[in-house]
Order: sequence, then structure tokens, then C-alpha cells
Amino acid sequence: MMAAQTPLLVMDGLSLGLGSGNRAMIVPSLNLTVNAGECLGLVGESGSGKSLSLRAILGLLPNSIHRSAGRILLRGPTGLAEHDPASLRGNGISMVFQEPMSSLNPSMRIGDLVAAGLRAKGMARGKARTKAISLLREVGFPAPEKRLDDWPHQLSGGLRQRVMIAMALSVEPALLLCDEPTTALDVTTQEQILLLLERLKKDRGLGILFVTHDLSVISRIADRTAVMYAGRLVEEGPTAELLAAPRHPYTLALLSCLPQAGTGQRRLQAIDGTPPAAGEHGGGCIFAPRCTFAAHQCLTAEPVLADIAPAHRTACYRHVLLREGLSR
Amino acid sequence: MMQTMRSNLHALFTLRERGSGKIAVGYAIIGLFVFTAMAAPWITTGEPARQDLLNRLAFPSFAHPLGTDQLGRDVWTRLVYAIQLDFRIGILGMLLPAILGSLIGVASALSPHWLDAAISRLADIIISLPLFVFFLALAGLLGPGSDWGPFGPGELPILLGFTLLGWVVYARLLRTEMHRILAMEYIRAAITGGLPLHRVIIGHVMPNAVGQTLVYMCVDIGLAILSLATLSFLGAGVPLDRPELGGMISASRTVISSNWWLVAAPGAVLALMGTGLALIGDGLDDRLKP
Amino acid sequence: MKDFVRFENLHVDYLRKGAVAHVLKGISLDVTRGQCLGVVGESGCGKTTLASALLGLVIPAQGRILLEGEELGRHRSSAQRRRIQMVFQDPVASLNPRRTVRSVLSELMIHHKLVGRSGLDAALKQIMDRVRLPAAALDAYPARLSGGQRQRIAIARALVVQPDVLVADEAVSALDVSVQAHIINLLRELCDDLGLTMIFISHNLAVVRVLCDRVAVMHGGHVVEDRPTEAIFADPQHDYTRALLKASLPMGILNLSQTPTR
Repeated sequence: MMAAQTPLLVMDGLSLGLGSGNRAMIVPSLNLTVNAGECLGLVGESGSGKSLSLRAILGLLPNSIHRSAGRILLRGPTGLAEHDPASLRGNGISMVFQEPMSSLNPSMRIGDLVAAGLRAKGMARGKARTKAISLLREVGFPAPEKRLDDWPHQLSGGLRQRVMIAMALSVEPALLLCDEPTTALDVTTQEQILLLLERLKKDRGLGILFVTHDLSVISRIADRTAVMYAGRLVEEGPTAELLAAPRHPYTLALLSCLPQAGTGQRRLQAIDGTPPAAGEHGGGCIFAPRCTFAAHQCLTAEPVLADIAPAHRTACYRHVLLREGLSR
Repeated sequence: MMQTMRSNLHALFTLRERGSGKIAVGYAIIGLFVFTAMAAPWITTGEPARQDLLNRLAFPSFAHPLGTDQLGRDVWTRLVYAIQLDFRIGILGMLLPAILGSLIGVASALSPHWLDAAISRLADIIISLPLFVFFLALAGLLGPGSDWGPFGPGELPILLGFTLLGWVVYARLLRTEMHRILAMEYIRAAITGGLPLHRVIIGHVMPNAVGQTLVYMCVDIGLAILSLATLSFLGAGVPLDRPELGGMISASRTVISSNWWLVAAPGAVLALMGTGLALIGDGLDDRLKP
Repeated sequence: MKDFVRFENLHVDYLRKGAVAHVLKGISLDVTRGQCLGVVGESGCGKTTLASALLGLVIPAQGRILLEGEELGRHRSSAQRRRIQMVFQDPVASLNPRRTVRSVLSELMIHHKLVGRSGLDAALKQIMDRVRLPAAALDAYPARLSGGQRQRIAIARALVVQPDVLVADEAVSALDVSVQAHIINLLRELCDDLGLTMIFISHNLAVVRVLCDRVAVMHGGHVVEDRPTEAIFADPQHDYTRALLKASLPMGILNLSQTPTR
């Protein structure tokens, strides 16, 4: 799996700021790679910049946010290159949103919704309809040929999310961007959607960039995980390794916040303090004020992401302490 | 309640927030007209009805800045008094339906289903009435020239008509807003907190529901003025001898080729008034948005 | 002390598009004083309706709800309402955007005559301490507060009237994990310190497992299983409970032996 990777998406120093000019930076400089047939999980809390970074790929940033620097390279017929975001939508890259109800046009029947992308590419009506049925079948929509004329509001949340995934697949994407696609769903439905995405990744060799705040979802779906805090990537590595032995104090703290099964604990670990607001950061490590491991060094110079194991990077001076803590 | 009403009013009277540009320009325009209307006795001849039949359709001069009309009346004086009249009718023509409509809207939102439905049907019927036929009938019924209480000749039928027709918009607006707010969790929290119903309505529902109504009230003054002008133009408004913007346009339209400013001046005033009020409303809308 | 809150054969129907939907189909549940009952199930199972019925926001078609043996009827007095309070899911929609924290809290305290005008400031400060917020937050509008702070305010609003029962409907679901942990700890603390009886509604089994003494599993308007927390997790009896446990995502992968101690 490590060998012969084909990068589909490379973010190179992406910078996002509030308004124009060099005012408050929300994401100072982000580097990420998503390979074919791989799911990269991007985790962070609200305000960490994870969703904005995802939206920047398709040029879907809100007006108040300005992309000030960096490149976003995507694989096209001629290899990795920068693209005009508008030309990408519905062309080699698709997105699945969190809220299936507000992201599906309520005045279109589901057959037409799924066929719309195909029709836009010039496919004949009858053929597009047949293709829509096969796509809906692929995403596990029960008896799609009978329900093409249903309206979105007649479907359950899980089925709506399946329709959205079928729409995303209709343009034959190589890369699927997922913005918390399971957050609004019940646990059993969530499980089904995750299984579906996993199957699509294997069958179609899809690259998936999966943004979520939910570490348990990450543990289920992501091959690699990147953790964001206050706009910065603080740790990145193979999911199993990162969750079992986190090497950044923030990752560790996030994991400790989760209720643990079978420990009989009555109090949860919690992280004191709040993340800094955009532009509030003075210097040193961004997490230092809330960090239990922080030393003098952490307050003076900002650590950069550095390799600590194969494919595992962390932005922490004190990561050795975390490893020792593990062996204790 | 006081505090929240204050924050609504506060939005109307501060200039350092969202939408301030629009509100400032709107205030400047409307302020200019209000000042002009109030200063009428000092900046005009003070006699909008005085005729000078030897000096008809005069060109603008020092004595008559906008010339005279077909009856030799000073057009500048008539214009200033027309602004006064139109503003008064505009504000009353907004306020009366706003009060009636808001009361009906709140009652409708809180009443049992059958009553709510009945009020909605009544509103539908009123909206489907042909407005001008209604006005003409009313003007005929009450007599155009009658002077009643504080209202000048021809004003009562117009205000009555505005109120009987105009409440519908306010009732619908407030009913919809009330329903939206009543479904919010903080209302459930106030109810489960044990607060009596009237406290919940006055203290928690209303302050959040009236924002859109305030916005519409600003715009509605302009609409009322335009309706008055239209009615006068058609001859169903105030009597033509009273200075009124629509009436002035109507009376001068036969001489538009030689004395075009007789039409252009009241026309421009109407357009500016409408723009100013719409700007205030729009800026207020920006500001009240959460 | 037994059966502090009691649901007896509770039925609730909703009118949906002209058809009657049976949302609760005969719920019987007892909660003893000081107990924390978790109610779990998927959306549409009726768990939120159960809370609404307890709070008197919907009228049951059949059955009754008792609080300390006293029936909570259709029209509740202000004093009856005071005894049961709720913390809602959405920390944005659950606070009136045009009221300061101070105005909301003092309105409730003064209405229930829990404090005189002179003691108001001290009482407000005390409640803010209780939910671990600075007194400065009293004069803030909700828009100025973070999600976690808003949820603390929502808890303060529930506590300020000195209730006996606290209903939390997905009260931590909309929060980030790090904030969620703080709020769960706060709720736990309140139950222990104030002897509150809590009904904690959630789809998150891991959270319920930490917080609750007992769990009722709801499915299709029925309670399908109602047992002590560890018993349910160790040995689920009903098929639906088993399916729900299986679907809730495995957390075994997380190794917490290295949690730093403070």
C-alpha cells in the first residue's frame, strides 16, 4: 500500500485569511496529500479550519474568507496541476455535504437529481435514467427503478445521503470530498454509509478526503489521519498508529475527552481553556497555553511538522515524552 | 421587554453598525424633506392656494423659483405644502394599518386553528379585491370634499381605505414571524421555566418577531405616499385644489411639453422620498439580521 | 423515595398531514430520586416526545405522568413547571438572541420568588460559579458566547429555578468533543452535588454509559429494554439493543493508558 501511490490532491502551503490583505489568518499554511484508493481523515474541532480548507479545493469559500497564498494541485489528464475551481465541479471531483436535506434540490425528483450531472455532459435522457438506476443500485438504494420519481422529502436521512453519494459518483470522480457526511445520521445509518464509502474506495479506487470532528468515525474509515488545531496541522500519520499512540499532546487530549468503554470512569478528561481566535496567536506552539507537556521552548518558537516515524509527522518538541508515557 | 424594545429602536438610531451607509443616506434624504416641510411658512409664500391669473405658466424666476402653474399659483410653495401633506398621509397611512394588522396577526398566531384559518381566508379575500375600485367606491360614499375632525378634505376615505386594505400585510408578516419564533427552543425553555404565557409572549416572542415589521413599516410609508399620489392622479385622492404631489403631476400633464418642470419637480420628489425610505428599511434589515 | 418520576402507560399521538401518528405506544418507566436515567434510541423512536410530555409541552392521548406521586395534568401551575427543567440540544436556538444572560436568569428567579431584589446579584454570581462561567458573562448576549458557554448558560437557566428533575435532550450532541467532556462532567457533578434526578436523552451510547445509572432503550414508540447501565452494555437482552450496540462505533482501538495525570 505504501508503494506506487498516485497523489490525486496536493495542497501546498494553502493560506486562508479573513478578508483581504494579511489580516487574521485562519489557516496559515497547510500541506496535505490525498492518494488514489486512500481515505485521508481530516479531524479538528469547530473553528479549526478543516471545513474551510476542504471548501477551498472547489472554490466554495464564503465571501469573508480570502485565499491568500498556496497552491492546490489536482490530478488531471496531464498530471498534477492547478485548476480553475469552477471547472472542477462535476469533473473528476465531487463533494458530499453534511445535511442531505438542504443540499438536495427539493423540487427535483431523485432520478432527475442523479441524472442531472450526466445530462449536463450530454448524455441522452433515456441513457442517463438507466445510468441513474445503476448508480443508485451501486450505493445500496433499495429498488431504485421504482423510486426514481420520489421527492427528496419522502426519503429518510440515510437514503438522502445515498442519493447524494450517487449524484457525486455520476461524474465518475477520482476524488471524493466529504464534509461530515455522517454527522446528521443515526448510529446504525452512519455505519451503513461508512461501509458504503469504504466499498466505493476499494471498488473504484476513489481517493477520499473525509472531514469530521468525530474521532470514532475516523477510526472506522480513514487510512491516514491529519489532526488540525487552530488552522494548523499538528499531527499526521497512519490512523491506527495515530490513535493508538498519538505523538502530539492535542491528539492525545482529544482522545482522552472521549468516554471510555468499560473503565467505570465517572469523570471525563477535558481540555482546559479555549482555542485561540484567528490572529490572536503571539508566538511559540499554538497549543502550548493548553498543553500539559509544555516547556519553556514551546512558548518561544513554533514547532514545525517533522517526521518521527515512517509516514508519521508531528509538530511538537516534546513528542518523545508522549512515547515514553506510552511505554510507562 | 424594555431592554429588548430598546435594542430594536437602538438599531433605528445608531450609525456605527451594519447597514449604516444606507441608513445614513436615507436619513439625509428624508431629513431634507422633513426640514423643508417644517420650514414651509418661512421659505415659501405661505399661501399655496393664491392664484395670480395674470401670471400663468410663468417660467422660473426669483419670485417664483419653480414658476407658476395654469392658475398662476407658485409651484415652489405648492410643492413644499404637498411634501407636508404627503408625509402626513404617508405616516398615518402606514401607522393605522400597522397597528390594526399587528394586533390581528398576533391574535391569529395565538388563536385556535379555526379562528386562525378564518382570519387567513378574510385576508385572502381582501388581497383579491380590486384596490382602486374599492377606493373610488369609498371616496364616492364618503364624499370627496368632506372635512372631518383633524383630517383635511379627502383624507379620511383614503386613510380608511389604507387601513382596511393594508392590515393584511402586517397581519401575515407578524403571524409568520410569531409562528417561527414560537417554534424556537428558547420559547420552550421560557414556558418550561414556568413563566406565565403573557410574560413569554411579551418578553420573549414579540421582541424577536417585530424586527421584520419595523423594516416593512419604513418601506410602507413610501408605498402609502405613492398610493396617495396615484389616487390623486386618478382623481380619487384629495381634492385637486389641495397641493398634493400626484395631483400636481396630474394637473400639469397637459403642459408637459412647454413647462416640463411642473411634472418633473413633484415626480423627482416622489422618487427621492421612496428611495430614502427604502434605503432606511434596507439598512435596518441588514442591521436586525442576527 | 421510590418512583420519583413515573410514566404510566403513556401514549402520545401527533397529527401529521391529516393522519394520526402514534409516537409513544404505552411507555411505562420509573425513575427514583437522584437517579440518572439514560434514554437511547434512533431519531423518530419517540425519545424527544417522551421529554416533551414530561415537560408538559405535548398532551398525552392516554396514560399519566406522576412526580412524587402527584399527577402532572394538562394545565400545569408555574410551581409544577418549576420542578422539571430542560437543557436543549441546540445551544444557538435555545437562548433568546435579544436577552442578556442576566435578564433571562433574573426574570426566572424573580418570577418564582426565589430571591429578593437585594439578593439578586449574589444569587446570579453563585449560579455562574456553579456552571463555571465568569460573572462578566452575565451581561453578554448569546451571540458573544461560544457553544460550550451557551450550553453552560442553558444549564444555569435550568438550575436557577431549583428544579428536582433535569431533562437533557441531546444536550451534548452539538458540541465538540473537548467541550462535550466539560459539559458531561458538569452534569455529573450537578447530579452528585445537588441530588438532581436526571433524564439524559442521547443517541450517543458511549456518553450514556459514562453518565447514567440506568438505560432505557426506545424503539418504535416502545421501551424495549430498561436495565442498569452496565447490565445493558455487558449483556443486552433485546435484539434491537444488540443491533444498536453493534452499530455504535468501536472505541476499543483507543488506548488511554498514557493519559497524563494532572
